[in-house]
Amino acid sequence: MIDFIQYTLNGTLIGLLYSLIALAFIVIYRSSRILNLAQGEVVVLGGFVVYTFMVQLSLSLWIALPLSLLTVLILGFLMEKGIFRHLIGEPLFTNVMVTIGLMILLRGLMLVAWGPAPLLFPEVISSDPVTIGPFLFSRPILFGGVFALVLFFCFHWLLEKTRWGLTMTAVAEDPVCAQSLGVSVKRSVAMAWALGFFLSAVAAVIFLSGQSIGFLASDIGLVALPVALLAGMESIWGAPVAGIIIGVGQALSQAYLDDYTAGTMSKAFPFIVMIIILLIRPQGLFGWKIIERV
Amino acid sequence: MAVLPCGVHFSSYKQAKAFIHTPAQWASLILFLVFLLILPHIFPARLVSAASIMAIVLVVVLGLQITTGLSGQINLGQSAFMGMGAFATGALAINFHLPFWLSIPGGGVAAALLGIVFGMPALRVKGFYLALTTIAAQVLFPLLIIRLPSSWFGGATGLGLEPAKIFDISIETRTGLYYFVLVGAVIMTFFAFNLTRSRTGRALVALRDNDIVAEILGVNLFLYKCLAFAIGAMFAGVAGGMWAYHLRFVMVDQFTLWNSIWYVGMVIIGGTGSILGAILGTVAIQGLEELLVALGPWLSATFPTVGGTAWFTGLNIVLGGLIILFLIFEPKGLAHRWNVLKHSFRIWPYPYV
Amino acid sequence: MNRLIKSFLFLFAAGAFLVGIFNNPVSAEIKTYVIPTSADFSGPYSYLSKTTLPGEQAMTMWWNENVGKDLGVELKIKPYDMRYNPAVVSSLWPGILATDKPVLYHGLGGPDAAALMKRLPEDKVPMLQSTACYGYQWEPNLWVFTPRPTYVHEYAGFLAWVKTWWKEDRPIRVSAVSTQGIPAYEDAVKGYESMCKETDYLEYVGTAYVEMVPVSVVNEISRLAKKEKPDFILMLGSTSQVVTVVKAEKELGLYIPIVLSTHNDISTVNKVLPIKDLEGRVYDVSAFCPSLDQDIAAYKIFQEYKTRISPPAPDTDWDLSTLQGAAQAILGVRAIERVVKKFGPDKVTGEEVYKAMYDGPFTSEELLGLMPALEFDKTAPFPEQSMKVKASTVKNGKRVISTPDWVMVPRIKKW
Repeated sequence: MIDFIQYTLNGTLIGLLYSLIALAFIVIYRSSRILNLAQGEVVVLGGFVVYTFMVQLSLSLWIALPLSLLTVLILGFLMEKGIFRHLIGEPLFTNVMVTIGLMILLRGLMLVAWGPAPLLFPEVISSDPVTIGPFLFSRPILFGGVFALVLFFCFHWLLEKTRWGLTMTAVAEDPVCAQSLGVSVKRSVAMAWALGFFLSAVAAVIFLSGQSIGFLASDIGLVALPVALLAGMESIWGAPVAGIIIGVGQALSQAYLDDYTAGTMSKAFPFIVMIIILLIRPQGLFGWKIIERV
Repeated sequence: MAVLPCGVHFSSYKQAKAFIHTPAQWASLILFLVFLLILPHIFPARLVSAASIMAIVLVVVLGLQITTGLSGQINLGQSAFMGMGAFATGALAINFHLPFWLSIPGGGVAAALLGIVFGMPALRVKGFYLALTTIAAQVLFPLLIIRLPSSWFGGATGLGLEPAKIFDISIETRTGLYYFVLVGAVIMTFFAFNLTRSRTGRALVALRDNDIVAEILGVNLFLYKCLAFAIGAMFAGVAGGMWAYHLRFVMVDQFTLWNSIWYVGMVIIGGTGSILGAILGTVAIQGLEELLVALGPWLSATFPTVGGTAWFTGLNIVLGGLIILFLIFEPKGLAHRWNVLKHSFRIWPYPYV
Repeated sequence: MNRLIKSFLFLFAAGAFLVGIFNNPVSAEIKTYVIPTSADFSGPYSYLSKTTLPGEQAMTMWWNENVGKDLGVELKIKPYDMRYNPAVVSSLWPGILATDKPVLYHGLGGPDAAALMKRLPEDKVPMLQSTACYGYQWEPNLWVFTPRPTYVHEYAGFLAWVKTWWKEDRPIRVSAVSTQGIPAYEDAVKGYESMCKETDYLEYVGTAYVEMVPVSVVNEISRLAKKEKPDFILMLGSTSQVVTVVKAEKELGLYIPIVLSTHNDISTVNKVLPIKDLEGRVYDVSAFCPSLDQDIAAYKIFQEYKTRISPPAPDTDWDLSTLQGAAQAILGVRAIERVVKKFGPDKVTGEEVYKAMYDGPFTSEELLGLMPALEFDKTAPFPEQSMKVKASTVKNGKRVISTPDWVMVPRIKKW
């Protein structure tokens, strides 16, 4: 019984981490209608930026972290200015394809800039485990989970309650209409990307703390996609809920089903859930239902 | 608006549907085919095998063009369908001793079936969600193959095939394989071109342009969405079968998500929606890759300061950058450029008609 | 009009350029033989090629100067970027055959094997592989030679050594950490199970499956440790996986020894983790000499030649991948040496090199201490009769060799 609870709790925490990455994805989508398939690469890029500041430039944590977050924000702005500004109003297909191109481009850039060998990521959060009662938690993941919840509160408030956030939502719903009402679409998209990059960098720091970072780490982005989908691509609060569902599901199937299926179930679980959700409720748990009119 | 060659006018539907209107066009086509036939005798071995691989990839990209470009269903799992075809062909060849002209179509059918399974959600979801479903297909495919019994698809060890045989003559030399693959590619290209001007092709285009209106006009959405995936997957399956006979060893890690992404890149750069675009995109990207591989050692030796490996990893940057640039500045791709070229040529010396 | 001409000129230039590139002739000198080598400069293992290649080049250059010169033969190593992709190998191979007329080919791993295994008997070029033999390569009469047996064999050798000091009454409990969906790993797990079933002093108790780049494996390791209580964990995986498993053990306070394979030996993992975390928790085992041992002749030769090869590699350490490249190269040149001594400098062909590989054992001195004495036979690509391994571990904050002498690997049935 204790084991079951332990697996569930661990799965919840890892699920919160997935949902953080999914949140970056959702924020970008909600604010600019762009589906960022390159999310995994963006996370790893954020990680590499932190690595550069902390290890290659040997700055202390308290200077390096804000500096890298700032850099990442600027990168987001540049991304919008360089690429997405030209694609506002283009059909969905084009946007998806551009993020695919971005995926390849970012991977190439990371390979050239930091090389292909795995590097040691600094221990931003110490790795000593935290024991609460009979349960053992990995400290970075625990901190990460708590921090993620805080971030969710902030972003929910930001996007739903502030004027600025509502502006971004308006742009997502209909950019032409929003523009005609005096909203700066360009600024909104830029802000969306900057925030998305920021969240990805935070996720990278938690995920990679004390571990090795290499370009192959971008696979984590692949799990964020089902989580975002399950949540509903416009819903901020959907992200932690969906993340927890998938995280716990994965942890439990790993604990109880993996022996019979030689590991297949835990890897396939997020995708199977995703397909089922797509078939039953395409807008996800909390997404907006889009009614198409001819 | 495309300008027709001088003197061409139509007096029947059959003429209007034709791709080739003038004797000069027939001549160019025949010359081109002859060139492809004598290619192994005039070009060095390296180019011949590059061309073989290019032909196989072309068939995959043709399928992808049909699913994504023609019918508007985003498909990021084309490599998994290719893998399905390769494994099915291998299994048929090894377990049932079928000759290649049965096992390759068999591979195509198997891939088409898989395509239908993963395309069925297309009825309920659109656009990006469909892309996610196909990503799921791509990720689940290796797990599936490895879990299934070894005797079916080789499991973790992969499948090793005997060479294709015509009347007991093995096709093993690089020239032989080139002709083998060329025949397959020409047949599939012929199918693809004909598809675009058939009734099915028009229904698929209607699907892409506005599926709700298409349904109102009587196009059976479910049937045609499944067909879009089935046909695209079949092409990939046939290409997989050819791959199996070419490489003679099929393993799960030859069909990854990155392969699928590159195929999509080729479709984009060639031009979404046209078969010619698929051909141009494949030739351009594969050609670029071969060029970089050929030049690589020379470049890294001549410019050691850049760092030996940067030239090679640079391919990723080039491809990704090209995709983005094309989408921003030339969204209709190389096929569009080619049409502009033809157009300018036809109306020369006037700048416009 | 301008547009038109510009487009034509561009197309024409591009076409001419392409034809020119693919048509570069190579003039073959007498008595210089080319050994093409598969490298990965832009794929998933590109960081290894940076160090493998200098190893190969150093050994070959040493041989050229000290042995080849007297015999009238020069060997050239020519790298090709195969990007760890069988399609690239397959498409480059006919060109390599035609222009380089190789007598030997250095393969890097799976893609070379996949693309070329079936072709080599017809093309008559033997291939040496620097990584361990894969399960699907365990076939008789291949033209592929793997001086290292399969990973399963190496682990079997390790466990045979463990048996020599094992004090308890029960069989040794063996478990593994693997990844789903990777054929090589799945194949290895099948091998472990089969090996343990046959050996009475081994018992296979379970596998933990983790992602290639896992977030945290505390769950899996704690479950494995509590339920199955293994004595050893065999790990074939990536550096990221090893790092997370070691950290999980640290968090759980466990000291179950993890047995690493050689593509992540202790020095490689030490680049990412501090040595104190590894104390008492890791072993590595290899059919090559551990990179720790600097007494061997190959090490000294490498240090001398690493600045003289082109491009020079003065900063390259003597680590695992350098060693693998060196081992591959030295075995190859010794085989060619046999042919030259027997038939003369002009008569070296792929077929003769192939036959020379079976022409009696290669001594450890010939192989500059990199490998034990090897004797190949046609039943398998690896030397089944004479496989031996060495292991190393971390003691008192330093990496030490646990097995001063080579340990014989027991024969295992094919799984």
